[in-house]
Amino acid sequence: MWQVIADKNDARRPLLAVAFLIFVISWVAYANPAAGLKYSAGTFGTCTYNACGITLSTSGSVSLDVTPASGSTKCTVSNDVVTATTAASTGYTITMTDTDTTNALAGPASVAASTATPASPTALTANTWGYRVDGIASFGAGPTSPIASAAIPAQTFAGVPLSSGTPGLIRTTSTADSSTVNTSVWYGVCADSSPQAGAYTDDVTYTAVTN
Amino acid sequence: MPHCFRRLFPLFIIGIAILASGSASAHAEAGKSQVITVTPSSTDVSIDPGGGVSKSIDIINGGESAFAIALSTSPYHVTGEEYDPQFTQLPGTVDASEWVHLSTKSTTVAGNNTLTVPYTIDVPKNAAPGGYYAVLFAETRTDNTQTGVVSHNKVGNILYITVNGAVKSGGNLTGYKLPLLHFVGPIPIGTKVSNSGGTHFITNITYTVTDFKGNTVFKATFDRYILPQTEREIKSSFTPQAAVGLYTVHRSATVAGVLKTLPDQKIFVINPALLVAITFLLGILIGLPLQRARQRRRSKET
Repeated sequence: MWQVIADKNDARRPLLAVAFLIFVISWVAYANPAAGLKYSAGTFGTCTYNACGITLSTSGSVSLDVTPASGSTKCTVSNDVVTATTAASTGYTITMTDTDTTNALAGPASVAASTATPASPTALTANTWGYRVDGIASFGAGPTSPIASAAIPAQTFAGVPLSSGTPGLIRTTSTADSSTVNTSVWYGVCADSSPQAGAYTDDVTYTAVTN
Repeated sequence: MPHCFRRLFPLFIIGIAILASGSASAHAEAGKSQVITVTPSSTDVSIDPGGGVSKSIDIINGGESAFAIALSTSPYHVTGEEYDPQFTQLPGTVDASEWVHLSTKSTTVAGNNTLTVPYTIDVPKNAAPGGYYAVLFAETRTDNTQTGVVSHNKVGNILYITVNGAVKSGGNLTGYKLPLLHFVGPIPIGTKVSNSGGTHFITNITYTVTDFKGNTVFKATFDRYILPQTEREIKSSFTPQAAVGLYTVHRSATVAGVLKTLPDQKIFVINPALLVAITFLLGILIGLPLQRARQRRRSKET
């Protein structure tokens, strides 16, 4: 008698297992509150063509004071904070070039720009300067930190593109961006004791347009 | 020579120190950020050959201090499917930026103020019908007292100019190949819209994803300019929220005024963890009866 009952239970087990399996699948498919809901709708901007504006803000200038030490190269890295906003549903693109066709730092003498490009940036060397943007092109993720008259940083830099060359990409978006997302453009200069002391400068142009 | 360096080095350090103190004050002055806005950021006009239109652009100084601005125009074209903006003239094309005549090329905008600059677009009589493109830029100017890296902010109003007349129009819509089976993460469902015509058009793209019951679980719409003889990629992605599901992706776009629809594509989504659980349960379902049968056979034999 006991054996007969056990056999009946054995026959029911596969059915119970199948029912349990169906229950698990159904629960996973339907119990998720996000399933079947509109969690994304295409309202990506508050205005379209001909009606939007675009705003660009920067710090205005970046100080790169460096005090060389005898027999060694010292570097300073500092950043400009670049921000664009637009309600255009297409987003925006910010690029950067030098303001003219000379990208050396001009002063009592000149400090050459790095010959590296954003596609193939390199570490700075003595008496050169350059820029980098974390996570853009081949610059690497960073994070870059400011330094003052310190050792050559490990991060890679590129020369600021000439106004006649291909602009360097700073940031691009594909949807409206009214939030204030700051992008740091890092500038670095390295010097040994050979450059003449004095004030050096170069002008760069950030350009922002909607996409 | 080394003696010369040694003698000059203290002077060099002193010079740098002077520079440091001097530039620190310059930087403090420039620390007030430049905030410039132009409205609109794009302008679309249709003009007859030999005709013209009058427009204006608003330049807003969002900072506290006044700044000088320079107004200029440049040619405009794009490169690649990502539409990287270029402000140079494509070889063999007409420079439409020369058609734009600004009422002023330099001025000053007071802090927290708006300046309206009128301009005209005058199309030559001999201009062929079609699309022409330029950008009207407003750029901040800085004084010459600043040192270090001095930034200029340049914001543009893209001019989409159609010269009226008979122009060929056309284009195509193509989509990413979608996977039949997807396990985890977002699914790229973008498309590419091409323009084989002679002038630009605005494409209106709609991506919709429905579940097996027909409920919409994702919808995105985009309006994008498509310039002549280019192809533009319009990216989007759908991230399934359920661990298992059968979805249908619908993609359509207006191409040169004609609605084009890609064939619907089905995607079966299953979470890998659930797949492992199902496999495990199936293993038990099949394995247990086999084990029982083997045990019975053995007990009969003994």
